[in-house]
Amino acid sequence: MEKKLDPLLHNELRLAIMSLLVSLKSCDYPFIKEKTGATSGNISIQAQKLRDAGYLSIEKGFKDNYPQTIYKIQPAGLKAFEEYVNSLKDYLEGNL
Amino acid sequence: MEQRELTQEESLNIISSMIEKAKGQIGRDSIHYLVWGWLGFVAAIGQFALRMLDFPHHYITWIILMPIGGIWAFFQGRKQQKRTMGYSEKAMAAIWGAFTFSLLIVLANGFIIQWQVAYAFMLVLVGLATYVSGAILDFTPLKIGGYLSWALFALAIYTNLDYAILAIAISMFGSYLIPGYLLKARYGKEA
Repeated sequence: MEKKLDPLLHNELRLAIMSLLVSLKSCDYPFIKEKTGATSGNISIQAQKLRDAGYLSIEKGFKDNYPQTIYKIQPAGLKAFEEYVNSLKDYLEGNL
Repeated sequence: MEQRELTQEESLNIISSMIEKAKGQIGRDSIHYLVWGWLGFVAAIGQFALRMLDFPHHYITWIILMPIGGIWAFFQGRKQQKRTMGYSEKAMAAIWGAFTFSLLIVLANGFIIQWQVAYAFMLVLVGLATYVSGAILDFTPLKIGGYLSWALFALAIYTNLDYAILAIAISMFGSYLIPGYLLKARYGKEA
């Protein structure tokens, strides 16, 4: 039986953000914008959804008097990502 | 990025693509291997040449070039925007910080332990740092560079100061420059 994919991760931008954070542990807002090519508003909205689910944290501060937003993956996010990838693998192996 | 229903294959492609882009950050660190590799190589070859010319202060190449590297590293560190903090970056910072301190301790006591021995110790330290870096980054050329420097320890310790200096030059070439250029070639594009 096909496992249901986490709807929170089964979204292009949210999956991209989580993939970056899984690799890097943390990164700032301009990095995510550069690598995903997404709009500022979209990144903010999707990142907040991930934060509300406990998948990542969002830290706002200042660096050299400029606002800085840092995203960090959380244990729940790592676990969810792992399960998502395993579900994908199961689906693809079952369909081969 | 569009907000639409993804297929499973598209999901995997997104994951792979983002991971590759994240890996690109490693390419940016190749500059350190290249700068220090060239400085060390030129300093060692220069010292060897000065010794062949019987110049008494042959070590001057290190005195001139190493502080240049230190100044560069200082400003590079300030300039480089630390936009990401990966798991490997913390480990790499620790490794190279420990390497630098250990090297300074060895060099500070070079007059006591004799320079040939000091150079041999340097090779062990270079081998350690480059091998561990290669293991952390999963990058074989750095691990091979580590093995090379460890092997060059034998050339340095069992011969004489001239060969020890040459060993340092070879180490800079094989443990820093070759892996540095390969690192840049492989990951530099995604940075």
